Amino acid sequence: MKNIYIKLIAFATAVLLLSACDDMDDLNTNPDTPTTVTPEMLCTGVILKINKFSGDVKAYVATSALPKYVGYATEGAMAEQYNNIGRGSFDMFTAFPNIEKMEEYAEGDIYENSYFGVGAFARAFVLYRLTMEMGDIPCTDAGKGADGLYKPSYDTQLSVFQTIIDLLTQAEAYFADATNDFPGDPIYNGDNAKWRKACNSFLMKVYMSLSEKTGESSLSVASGFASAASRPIFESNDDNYQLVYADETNRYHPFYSTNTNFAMGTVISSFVVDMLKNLNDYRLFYYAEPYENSGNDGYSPTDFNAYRGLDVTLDYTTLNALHNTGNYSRMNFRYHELRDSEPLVYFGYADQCLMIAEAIERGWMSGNSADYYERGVRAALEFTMATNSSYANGSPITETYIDNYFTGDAAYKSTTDDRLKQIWTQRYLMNFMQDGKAQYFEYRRTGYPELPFDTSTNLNPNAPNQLPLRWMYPSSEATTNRDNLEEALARQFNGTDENNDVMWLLK
Amino acid sequence: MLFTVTCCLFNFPGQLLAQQSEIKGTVFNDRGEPIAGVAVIDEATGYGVTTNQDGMFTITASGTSSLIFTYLGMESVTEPISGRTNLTITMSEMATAIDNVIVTALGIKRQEKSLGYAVEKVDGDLLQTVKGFDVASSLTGKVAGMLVNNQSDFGEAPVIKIRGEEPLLVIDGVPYSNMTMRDLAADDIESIEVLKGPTASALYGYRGANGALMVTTKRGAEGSGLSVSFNSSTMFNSGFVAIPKQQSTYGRGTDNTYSRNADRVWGELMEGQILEQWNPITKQLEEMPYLPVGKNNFKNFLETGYVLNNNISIAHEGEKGSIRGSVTWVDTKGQYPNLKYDKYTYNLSGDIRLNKFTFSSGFTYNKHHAPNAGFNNYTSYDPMYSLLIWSGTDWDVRDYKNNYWLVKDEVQNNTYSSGSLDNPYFYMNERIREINRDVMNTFALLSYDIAPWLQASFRSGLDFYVDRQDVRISKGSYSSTGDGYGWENAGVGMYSTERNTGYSMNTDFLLTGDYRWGDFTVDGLVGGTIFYVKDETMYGQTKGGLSIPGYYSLKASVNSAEVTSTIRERQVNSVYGRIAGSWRDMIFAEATLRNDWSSTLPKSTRSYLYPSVSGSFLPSEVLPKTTWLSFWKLRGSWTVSKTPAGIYDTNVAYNVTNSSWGSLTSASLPTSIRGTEVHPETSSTFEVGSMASFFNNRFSVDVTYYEKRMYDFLKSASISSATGYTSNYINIDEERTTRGWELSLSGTPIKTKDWRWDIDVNWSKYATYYTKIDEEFSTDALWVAKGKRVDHYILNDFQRTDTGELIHDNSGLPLFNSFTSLYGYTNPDWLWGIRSTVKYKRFTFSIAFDGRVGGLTPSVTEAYLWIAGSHPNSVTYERYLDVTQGGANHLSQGVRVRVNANGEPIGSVEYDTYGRVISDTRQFEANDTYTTYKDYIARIHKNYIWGGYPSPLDVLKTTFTKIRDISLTYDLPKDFCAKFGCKGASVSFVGQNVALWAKEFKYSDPDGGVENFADPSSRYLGFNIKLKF
Repeated sequence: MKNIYIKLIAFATAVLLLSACDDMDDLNTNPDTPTTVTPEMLCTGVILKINKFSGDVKAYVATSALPKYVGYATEGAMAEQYNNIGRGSFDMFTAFPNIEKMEEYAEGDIYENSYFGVGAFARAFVLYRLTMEMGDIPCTDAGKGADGLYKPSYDTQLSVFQTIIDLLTQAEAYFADATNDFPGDPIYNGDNAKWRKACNSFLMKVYMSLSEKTGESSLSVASGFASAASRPIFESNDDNYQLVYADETNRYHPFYSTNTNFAMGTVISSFVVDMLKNLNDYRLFYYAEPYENSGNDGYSPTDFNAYRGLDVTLDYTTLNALHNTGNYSRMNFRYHELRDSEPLVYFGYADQCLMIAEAIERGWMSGNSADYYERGVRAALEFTMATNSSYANGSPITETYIDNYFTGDAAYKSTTDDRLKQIWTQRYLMNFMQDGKAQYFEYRRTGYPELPFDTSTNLNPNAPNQLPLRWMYPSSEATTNRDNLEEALARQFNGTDENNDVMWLLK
Repeated sequence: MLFTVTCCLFNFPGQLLAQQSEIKGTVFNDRGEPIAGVAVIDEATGYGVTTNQDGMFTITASGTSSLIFTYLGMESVTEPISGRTNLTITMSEMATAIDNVIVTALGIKRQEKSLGYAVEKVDGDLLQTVKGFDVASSLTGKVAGMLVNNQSDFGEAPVIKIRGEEPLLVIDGVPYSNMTMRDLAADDIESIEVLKGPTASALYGYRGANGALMVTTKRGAEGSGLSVSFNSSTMFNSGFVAIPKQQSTYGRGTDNTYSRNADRVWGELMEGQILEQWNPITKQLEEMPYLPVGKNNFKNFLETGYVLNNNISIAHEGEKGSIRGSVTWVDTKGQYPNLKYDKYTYNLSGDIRLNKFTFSSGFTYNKHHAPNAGFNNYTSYDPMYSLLIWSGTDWDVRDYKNNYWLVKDEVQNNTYSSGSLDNPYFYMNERIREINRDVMNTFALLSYDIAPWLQASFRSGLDFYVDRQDVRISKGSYSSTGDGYGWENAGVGMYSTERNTGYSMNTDFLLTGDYRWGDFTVDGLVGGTIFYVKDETMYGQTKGGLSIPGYYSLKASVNSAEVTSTIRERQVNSVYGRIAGSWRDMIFAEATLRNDWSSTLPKSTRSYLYPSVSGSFLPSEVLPKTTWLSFWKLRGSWTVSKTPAGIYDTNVAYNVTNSSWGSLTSASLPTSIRGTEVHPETSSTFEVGSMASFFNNRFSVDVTYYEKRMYDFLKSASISSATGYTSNYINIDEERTTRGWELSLSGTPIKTKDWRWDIDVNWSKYATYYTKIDEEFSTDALWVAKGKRVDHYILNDFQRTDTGELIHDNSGLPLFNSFTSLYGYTNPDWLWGIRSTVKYKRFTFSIAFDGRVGGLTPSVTEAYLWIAGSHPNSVTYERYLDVTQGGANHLSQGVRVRVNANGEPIGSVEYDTYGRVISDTRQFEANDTYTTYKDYIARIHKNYIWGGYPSPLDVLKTTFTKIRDISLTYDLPKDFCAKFGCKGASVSFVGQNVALWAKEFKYSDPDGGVENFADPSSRYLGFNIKLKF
């Protein structure tokens, strides 16, 4: 009898054991997440990761509030408007492993050069943004988590810039060798020639960012710039490295919203309004709405007097009260009403022309700076002209208007000092509601146009007498990578992490 | 039960005695009702019979012998025959649990005294008089160590935690994967055994690692023959134990003046001044006196909610088996308009007993339907968002009832013409979240007695569910679609539909045996389980708006609709064994061993083994008998539990996003590093306890201490994003230990013919501490260190000087630290519950209190009432001055940093990377900058819901005491009932959530554990009728 039970137990156990080993790997394989993908899908992911704005309307307002384009008069004081900028983020580094995979999958296929080019460009983009924000950052060790490097050390800003320059040089070479238009590209739809131009234009931007470092022998800033400018570069707004928004899924302009709260609470700064008025610049009609009571005051929307900015350095209570009077302009409604109001330009033809004009003025290269100034401004005006003119408040920009633009204060001045100021002013004006952070980097480099602040309302921690100079390191670095963080802090800022520390680039 | 019965019935035949005679008798309970199934054993011979349906038995025994009557849950009776041939025996219910039979893991029934770990049993009766929507609410405060978070939000199910973790739900021995407490009808529950620690549920593997709730459903009939019972409960909302309030002095505005579309309540005094306002009746702007006409908006908007809970069951108990069927209908209406939730439960179960075979089966089908379950929480746009928080009392919500369209299906009639505040009636009627849930569970259990000491059983359980959720947001909605549905779809309308479906199967094969040699008993089992679960989801959502207003379909999508689907599967195969022994019913020992193979782990670590041991000793069996000590048990156990990775957690696979940019499809790697050979995480639990009862079991006490050490944590450890990843999925070398105490006391201080008073008290505390830090992967922070609690609550505290004064910025407002610091702990310090029942003749009064002490949670209601200017306490003199005289009138007490003539601060402060001050050379002077009251409030209460930490002012202790439920029952006299053909009847006055005293929560109920625009907490009062035929 007992044998039967033993057999029974043995049988049951055997059945269980057999089924235990069967198909278990299949069960744990997710049919919705592939283990291999195409390089084009990764390419799309990488580009969107580094270029697509991921926040809401309010976050977008914040990026334009720091460079004093706009202020925020709802909910409460916006920290960035009052120069409390806090900490940066290393989140963009998560593009690195994806870039590596993209390159791995591209190896040997007909688009290999293009994807390697995108990879090098994207790495350079990430490193550039992060070092500009914070100073020294991980570079050599960055993106190597999968190899077991969990605590990356920080590279000096100088060496980060050297890497960026190398990467862009490599990227340009890849695109020069690429022959087939490649898929998965949200920027240029796979046009290698345009990418090649973008590499050079970006490289010019990098050198221009180093304008305080012309004495740094290991970089040769001036000649580097000139050399980049001599290679294929942007020739018109069509070449712009930009995200073109559209009425398609996940392709809306970040300011578009059916909730008008944020848009209605956003005030346009008198700083930018007055500058535009001064230049008789029609972009004002595209940037702002006539103030609510302007009609009662007898001003038509085509009249510059119908537009009034607010001093965004005013304390929040006053700003809010003035905004509620209806005597100050709101943002142009196209920003929140249209899903495709205007593209977001990272590297553009207009900016490139202005950089060349500046480089000529600085003596980095030869050429006619007036010509580049006018080409730059013209391109910027044309960019705005290309947007929906039904939002131009009856004063659309036309070719004729552009032809007559360069008079008065807009006419190119004679001294280098004045010319540089004109160049920087124009760059400031064309970056309205564009890449606010990049514009802040420009302000930090040139100090012009001199962004307004008021010591009594400035919330820059520990230094109400100035604007902040950098973002602090992400707090997660302290909890996950403290030793390397402390080493970088000791090397740069005597061990502290503060918004007003001066990074190598600015010294 | 089978075990003990078999055990009792199967005795070694003693010597046969002469002079046997036939003895007849009947066994009754206290109430004079016959009891079927009582074991009647001749003490001399060990020969036994059982009573029939009428409680009668016939046995052949010697007239000098005694008969032993035993029945589960009753005190056994030893009755000398003394030559009689007809006996009438009355058995009374056991006063305490010492001889209680407990359902343990795998459905094995064991005597409580033999258990080496803490188990508590809740009788179904306790849950069947005061019946709310969820049976889990009725468990609150009843069991030491069990925390039930009851959220006041409509449709939110209570969350049960035992020793801080969510237990496994086992119904009739089957650990279903998809059944929840909500799917159980209170009237179908016979009892719930709470297996608190992992030792108790060791045989359930990782699923039982946090303890288990073993629900035994009713089977067959009480007594015998046919019985029908009807239990109906009706409770109405009778006021609120916690409800938010708003000020009605100031109207809407952001700058102390009126502004029509201001979504703040920082406006001017409402004194009857003439202002241009929206007239909802004429639907135009009109000059009208400005008055707090909406003073009672919130209360006017609320409706009387109710809970109906009706059950009818029919059961038949026969000699060869039993059958029971029941139907339950539970219906609740919310306090906000247009919220309703219905639940229908059909249950059928039966048993067949044939000599050596026993067959049991059960089937339950649940249909849940909520035509609109509404939206909860700030970020999902709770109704309070527009009604109570951001809009003032300068408009009357009643004018908008049934009057919420300007253009049907497109434009709202709303006191606001833009912004994000919806007309509340539009909100409740045109922003709909419909829920359908169909869930079915069934099992079959077949046992066969191979030999008197050996039994084989096969049990298979299956559950299957379809959950469907449809969201319809009308065109013209001001507020966004809320969390999870995208932000851009509000004004243009949105429809989404989600179907989650799946099933789980749990199949056991068990071989169990028991044997007795003299003073020794041995019992044990070997068995195996295959557990398989599969879940699938389909989700579709319109994009870019609805093509036709009022047309809710994926086909209405303006851009191409978004469609996603997922599939998740898991299988765990197990073999296990258990061996237990005892000596003289005094010393008990048990050990288990289990090996699992989990599909979620890589091949190399897929198979893993873990043991448990436990034992108990009864000193009361050794000590000399005293009148006061009736029973004393010491127990101890130790167990190892292993939990494998989650489904797909170890996979290196890409996330693919369709239409990530127009028509482009993108892919990205997970941000967690995977692919390391991980093994299951482990916990080892050690537990000791003691139970004693006194004075003939009138009083008893049970105390437990336990330590659960968790190590080899399988988790995504945060790493620097500069690595390209944000976390690393590994076993980290951190160790955490939970230590806790549980105490329960129960007693019957009064017991006379007419009076009886029972009281139960329980108390527990637990906390989890770091006991080892992983130098590489533990979070590097001051509050993460050996000996510190893990449930830390961190935030950016106010900046203060050494002497504790607030430091202000140069605009006169208090500053927060840029570093986070420890503020407190989230888990309650301790939990308690008291239940008292007084019986006088046919009246029974029962009341249950429970509460929590300590534990922090942010109150979103409190924070946002302040920020919006709606808080009743914001009506201050400074505010009055701001509004009536203008300027800034509030001075925040404290200091600011002294500055030189150029506005440069004198001195500076330096922090290390932990946020500790290294040096501080700042000079301070008294803050003398006045601000508006509004700016001050906006600063000190932070608008944090979209990210960041709340202000310490809004992080509150959850300490509270509640009267959970009360009931006053009258049992109708039997003869009276009999006139109506009724076996028994009772009527009760009942109440649930009757009263609340909260220490820091003034405007909402902290019972949910978290508070995010918690709905007003309703007091429910009503009545209950029970009839038995």
